[in-house]
Amino acid sequence: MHYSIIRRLSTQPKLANIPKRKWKSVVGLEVHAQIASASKLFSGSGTSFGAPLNSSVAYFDASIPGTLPVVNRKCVESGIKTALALGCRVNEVSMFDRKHYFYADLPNGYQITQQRAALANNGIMTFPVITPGKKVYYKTAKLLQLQLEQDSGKSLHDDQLKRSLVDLNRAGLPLMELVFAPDLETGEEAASLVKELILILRRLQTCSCKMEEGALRVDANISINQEGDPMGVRTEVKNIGSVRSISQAITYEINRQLETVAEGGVITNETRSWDAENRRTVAMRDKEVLQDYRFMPEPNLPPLHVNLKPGSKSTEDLVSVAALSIEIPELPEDTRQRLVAQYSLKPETAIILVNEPILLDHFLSINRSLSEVPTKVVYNFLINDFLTYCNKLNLNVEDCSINAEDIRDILKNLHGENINLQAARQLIELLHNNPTIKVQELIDLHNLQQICNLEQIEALCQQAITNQPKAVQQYQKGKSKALFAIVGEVAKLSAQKANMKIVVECLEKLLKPPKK
Amino acid sequence: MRRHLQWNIKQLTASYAEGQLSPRRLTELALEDAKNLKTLNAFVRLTPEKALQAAEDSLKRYQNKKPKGTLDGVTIAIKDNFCTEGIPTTCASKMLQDFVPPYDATVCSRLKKAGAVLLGKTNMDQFAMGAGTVDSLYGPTKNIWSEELDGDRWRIAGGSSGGSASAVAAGICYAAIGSDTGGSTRNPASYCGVVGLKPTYGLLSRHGLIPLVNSMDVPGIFARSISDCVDVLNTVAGPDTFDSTTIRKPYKNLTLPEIDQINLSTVRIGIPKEYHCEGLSPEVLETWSKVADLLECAGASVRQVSLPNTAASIFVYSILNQCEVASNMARYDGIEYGHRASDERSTEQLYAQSRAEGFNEVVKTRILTGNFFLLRKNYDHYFEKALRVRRLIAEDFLKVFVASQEDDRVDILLTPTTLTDAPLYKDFAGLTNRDQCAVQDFCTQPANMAGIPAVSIPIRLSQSGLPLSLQLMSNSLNEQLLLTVARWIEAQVEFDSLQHRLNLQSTL
Amino acid sequence: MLRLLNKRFYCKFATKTKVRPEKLNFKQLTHPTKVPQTPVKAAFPNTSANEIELDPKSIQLLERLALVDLDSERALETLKSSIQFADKITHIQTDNVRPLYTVLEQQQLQLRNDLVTEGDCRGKVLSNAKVTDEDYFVSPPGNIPLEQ
Repeated sequence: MHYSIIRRLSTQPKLANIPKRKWKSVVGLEVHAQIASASKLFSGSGTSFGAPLNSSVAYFDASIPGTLPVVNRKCVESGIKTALALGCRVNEVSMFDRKHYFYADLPNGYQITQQRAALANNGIMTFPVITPGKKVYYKTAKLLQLQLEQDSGKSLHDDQLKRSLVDLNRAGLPLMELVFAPDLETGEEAASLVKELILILRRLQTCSCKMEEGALRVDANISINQEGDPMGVRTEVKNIGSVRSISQAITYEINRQLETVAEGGVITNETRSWDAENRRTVAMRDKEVLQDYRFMPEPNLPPLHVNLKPGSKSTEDLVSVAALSIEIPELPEDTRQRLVAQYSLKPETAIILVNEPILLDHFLSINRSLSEVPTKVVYNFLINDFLTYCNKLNLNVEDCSINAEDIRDILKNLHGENINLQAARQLIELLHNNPTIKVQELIDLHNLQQICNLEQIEALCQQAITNQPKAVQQYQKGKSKALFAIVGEVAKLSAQKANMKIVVECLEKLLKPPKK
Repeated sequence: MRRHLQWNIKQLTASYAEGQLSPRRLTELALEDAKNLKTLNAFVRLTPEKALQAAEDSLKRYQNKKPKGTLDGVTIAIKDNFCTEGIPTTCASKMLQDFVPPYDATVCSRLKKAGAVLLGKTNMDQFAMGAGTVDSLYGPTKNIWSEELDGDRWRIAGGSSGGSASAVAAGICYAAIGSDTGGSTRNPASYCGVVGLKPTYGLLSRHGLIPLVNSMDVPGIFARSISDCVDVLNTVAGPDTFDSTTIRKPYKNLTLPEIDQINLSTVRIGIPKEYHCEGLSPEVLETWSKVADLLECAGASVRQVSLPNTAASIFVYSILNQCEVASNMARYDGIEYGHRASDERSTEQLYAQSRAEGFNEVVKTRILTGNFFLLRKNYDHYFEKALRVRRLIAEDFLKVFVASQEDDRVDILLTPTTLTDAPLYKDFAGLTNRDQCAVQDFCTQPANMAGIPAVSIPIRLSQSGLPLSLQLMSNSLNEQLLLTVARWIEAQVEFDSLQHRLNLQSTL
Repeated sequence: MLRLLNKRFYCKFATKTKVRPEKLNFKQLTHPTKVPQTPVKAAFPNTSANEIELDPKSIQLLERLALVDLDSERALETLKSSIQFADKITHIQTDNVRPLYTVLEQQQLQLRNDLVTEGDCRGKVLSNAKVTDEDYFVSPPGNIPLEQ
């Protein structure tokens, strides 16, 4: 495939021959979410990330002969809660199956999963799709199945000595597999779905969603077809390690398929891996090997019954779905709608706030305790100034050491005209670098108070007028916009501390044009 | 004959309590017997140090008048597919030849907790796949009732728990643990002339029992009397949090009534006609007829019933067995444990070679066939089909035990266990493994299909001087009635499990 | 005493063991018997002529999935006859009969509390592995198809 390498040198793939509107892309996601529980799905060993090699391994996890699985109730509850939050029908009876294949990190030679009769089916997710530069819109994807299953161990490949080193700490960790219908079309839609899913799972506390720890893994099934044709042959893309990669990988693969077809090639049903470093998908195997998993019911686990009766309570062996549904917290979409209704926010603003749970917390708590400041000011500052700062530094909001109290103090000072917006922005940086010092102290320390004294301002204005004769001239000729140059000069002279409102008033008074 | 061998467990522990016999002495004698009877090849491994230590501890407890219970100081043998901590557990296969489990099977730990003395691990067919205990890494086990133990005219002990049956039949120990998937406890019990109980599926824990067919395996109990069998059952039965296929109901100890207290007038015996199949020997038929008659004389109602799907059982069993084997054996790749070959070029090569070297022909064929049945295209036609027929077989039993009409119900089914007395090894070895199992397991398999309890009791000797046994079956969790009736029959026939030792009266 | 014991066992028994007089006469019955005195024939189709589709490709697939080799013609024959054996139940009427996966299908599946009760036994977990390296299990590289 040498010609494709040459093509890759240009960052934008050329699609000269196909008018894009004739082709549709189809994307279906498979998400594996590691359930947040203290012990594994079928054994009593621990689940902490980063435990010493092969130490979170019970005999069952290592497939020692004679050992048997025993189901962890917390995992069943987490699966049910997640299913309910995603609008699924929880099945009264579900069963476990063995899925057979050989691999070094699969000691049993099979994985225990749920294939025939899963915990839940027929869910649905409706979520906002945010594409930079485009208007926000809502997309719906059906959730076909939610099943409980075991994770496999980890094998490290030692190419030098031609061997694999196997650590079974991860073997047997509880997973929920969420199989979505191929209802999506673009990488952005997929990324948005996953973002929404993460918000939901974190609120439910059923999954940490830390993709860097492997707690959330996303595989994408991608195909293209011409409008009106049935779905094309699909490829599966694995090894997507972050939310950002989701959009990149899927977009890349769609384009790769379109190009392949444009050049007269065919898409083969294969598994491809996302190479984040080189930003492309790579075929994982050169020969697609025929696979038959020979699913068989897990004989050591009789069927799992759950109680669907409304108003029921959970007992030791019978989990009540009704009792769990009461525990479901407010879901992100409901929060967005509530924010829009309660605070008259624009939908886009609500989306941004809900997307960043800490930001949302700040917003709500500041609004409550600082009723004199208009809501608009609060969220504008949080989004335009605070969030922007974090993004600039590539910092996650939760990793920023600035808390709600600090922001509240900034806003209080801002509203009280003690400081201006520039100073407020400076304070963010100062606070982040000096987490132990309070806002008031910093204002004093760095002399951030606004200059509001009329005399001082007049003096500054006079100075600025002197420094900007050309602008003055233009302004007096009638070009009102020229005032900003002079205002800017005042700002510079005052080290950004002059109260801009007063400055503008003052300048206007001083520079009253002689004739109308 | 050693006098104490004539005792049952209750009498034995009574003599311990009175100081007449010491557990230590008994264990020493047992180990001696085991050595002397090495030709039987009942044991694959004796554990004399551990046994003597346990016996010593038991003795101390009796001296302090604080014995642990009914099994304190009683000698027991364990089939080598039960995990015993620190003691190699091989399933008589090269694949697990060096496997030393890091834990005890629940059955073993309960026996240990009760103070029983574990003498060692007994021989079996490789991975419990067989009906003769002839397919073992350690060679075949011989039946102590054989006319001759040398040469080629010895009799098989039955299987796959032949070693355990043999050890009890020879008087080396008082009881033994086996496993029963299609008859693997009742079959050798029948040939060796001892009691063999397959309890209700789920009554005993399978944690630590290396599985053959998970949905049918049950730990089995060998003893020389029903009373001894019950003593062991009471010690090991009951739910286990490590095994999700144990019945959750708490277990209540069985107490069987005294013989003269047993009233059979309320008992309804069923004779399922399909159990008279081709190949049933005239002597077994005669035995069956006589015992049915005895029961009727004692006031029980005896009638013929029909279990129409009985003959389908062996076919269903072969499918389900092979499918589970294909799955259960997938773990043997040499990485975490077990035989590891030398071809390290790829996992595929290593696994394939380890498995080729570690498994015998029988195991390999079952794995292949099982995988064939589990292929997606074959799954419905074979595996699911077999499971549907399994329900028909189970429903046959349910219909007679819980029939809608009170008059149509029976409590106990009386059938043969094996179709003949113990075959000669040379005749048995000439058959394929499948035919060996198919013929001998005809009467025993259906109970495993349905999960119901079944017990084999020796009745009399055949013309060849070999034991003939019969089987009783009952509905799930009905061991109380099942063993009561068994006990009554036992008392009528007065079969002496140690009769083969009579010749040695002067020497022992 | 022990030597005598051995000798007895290794001798052919010229005379049978003294048979205890049977108190029960197995040939005498009091009631008309309920035990069928003739075998009940079970009718199963003869499937030995059944065509079993096992082309080399299927066999290769099976060998790869099972990682067990069919190393002889005899093994292939055994496989075929096992399949024919299984075919014998095809004719049994099972419409509307649900598969019996486990006899415990009515019981609630046992659920365990979410507590860490196992693990932390690396030494024991690794104890039976023939090859380990610094607390890892060791395996050859994977996903390389078998040589044909």
